[in-house]
Amino acid sequence: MEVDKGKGEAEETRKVAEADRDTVTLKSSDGKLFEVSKEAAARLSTVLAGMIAGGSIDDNGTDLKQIGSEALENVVDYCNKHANSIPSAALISSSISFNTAPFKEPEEWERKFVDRLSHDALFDLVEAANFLGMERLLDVTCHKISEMMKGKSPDQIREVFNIKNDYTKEELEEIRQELAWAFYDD
Amino acid sequence: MSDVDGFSLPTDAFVEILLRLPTTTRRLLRFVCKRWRDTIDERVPDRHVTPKILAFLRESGNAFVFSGDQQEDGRCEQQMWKFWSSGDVDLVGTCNGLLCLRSGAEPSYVPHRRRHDEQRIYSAITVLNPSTYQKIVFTFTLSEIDTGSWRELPAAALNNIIPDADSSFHDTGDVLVTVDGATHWLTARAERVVALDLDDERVVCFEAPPVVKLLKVPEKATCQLTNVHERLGVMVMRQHTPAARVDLWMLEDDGGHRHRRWRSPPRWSRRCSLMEPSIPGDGRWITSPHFTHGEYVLSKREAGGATWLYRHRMGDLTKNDGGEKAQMWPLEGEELMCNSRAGVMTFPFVETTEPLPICPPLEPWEVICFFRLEGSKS
Repeated sequence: MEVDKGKGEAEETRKVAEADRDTVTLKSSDGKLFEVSKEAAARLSTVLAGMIAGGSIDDNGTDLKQIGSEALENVVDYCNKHANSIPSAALISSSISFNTAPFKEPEEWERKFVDRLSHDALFDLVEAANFLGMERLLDVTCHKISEMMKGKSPDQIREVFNIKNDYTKEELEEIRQELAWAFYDD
Repeated sequence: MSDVDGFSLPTDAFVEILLRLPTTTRRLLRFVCKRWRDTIDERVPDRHVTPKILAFLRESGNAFVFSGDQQEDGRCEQQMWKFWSSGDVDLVGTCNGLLCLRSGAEPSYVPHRRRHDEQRIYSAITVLNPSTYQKIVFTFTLSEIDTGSWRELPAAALNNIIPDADSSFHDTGDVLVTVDGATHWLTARAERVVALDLDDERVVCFEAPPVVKLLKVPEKATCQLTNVHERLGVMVMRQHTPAARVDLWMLEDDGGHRHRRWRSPPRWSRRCSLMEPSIPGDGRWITSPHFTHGEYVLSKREAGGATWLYRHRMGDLTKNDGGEKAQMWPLEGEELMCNSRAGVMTFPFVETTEPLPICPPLEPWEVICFFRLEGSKS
């Protein structure tokens, strides 16, 4: 996915060519370049769609200072895989707009895509998806993490995510008291 | 992005995950660490959850759940579950997404009874003993320990605080309202409210709204406790020709713990009045035991054995606007349901996916079961 910076090219001719290109180049915080289909980027990310429409895409690599190369590689990978799969109509509509449509279960390839990621890579991808306004990717990654939390006791969750319990015994008892009468009704 | 703590997500991204979890799970996550608790309290408080409306038809043993959204034909989407083949079933309450049903008969259909295998804390459900029906209250708590338990309230505890003449339940006192960790009911003449603290089983008694005394309840009016946005309310209903009038009184929240509140005199305030043309046997009436279902107030009409259910958007009634809340005439609203069976009760309902407890052994006089609604049974 990585491309070399084409430094020797004449800027003018390059600009003309860029306008017709069907890919955009993205630059990670650590300076690596990635190429992604313009159509997929615009369809899956509201932020990139806005940049493409507003002409603020840099031909030499649009700076995404908030996203590391590993996460950006996953983002681009996801976009390309998404472009190759045949998503249902409902899926497309829910990934384009910020609507409150119920979450559609991840498709098989999406499940595999997030399953292979380490915790850190998964967290970075959530952050990247959130930053780029990629609703569907955010759904899929958050779904994966929420699955890791469901049905577990607080102790198990601390173990899975390596979280330190910073409560005292008394404080825990206090929360338990609060919870004892908490109704979920109104 | 490594951290000493393995969970290094920025708050915004963490919130995205929290929003995708059921409320019940979010509550448990508050136990994990302080940062999680604070994030949940600040960013995804329980108020974000909009309860659905659950209507239970006693006669047929059917439960209907209405989602808030309207379909293209203007009707609310509804799902139906069937619980008992015969009648004589009460829905005692909903809590934590579970339905607590009580019946003299064995259930014909018991879906998804599972072992209680996780740390869960359930609220208590209180029922009257139908065989004695006076003074004795059973509370049933599902705690983190995997057995539920019955507790019978000692009659002595009640006798000490309620004057003899007023010691039994009010006529419409089959409505027990559990809010703020205590179960409440009205005394015989509806002059006082009895509150049983479900935590320490202390019983206290305080004055009902002043209007009740003036009206000489129950001769000229009827009173009923109700739940208004998880706060205690009293409905005072009067029949006038040509209209029936319902006044809603609400116990002021002093923001303190219930024990502190009970030490000082309760402050009641009238929050709204509803009017309805009074056609004998054919008027609409507020459903019980909850006055509010999210933003809605529900009313029902029962005629010729059939039931109609309506909803009307009222907003947040806990906001005091000096008693000037708009009066509604008549008690109108969009139709939610029309069913050929009678005996409807309504509850706010939040779905859950958490495991169900096993039904503990129960008194022979009735069967109490907890259900979760899973998948449409219609």
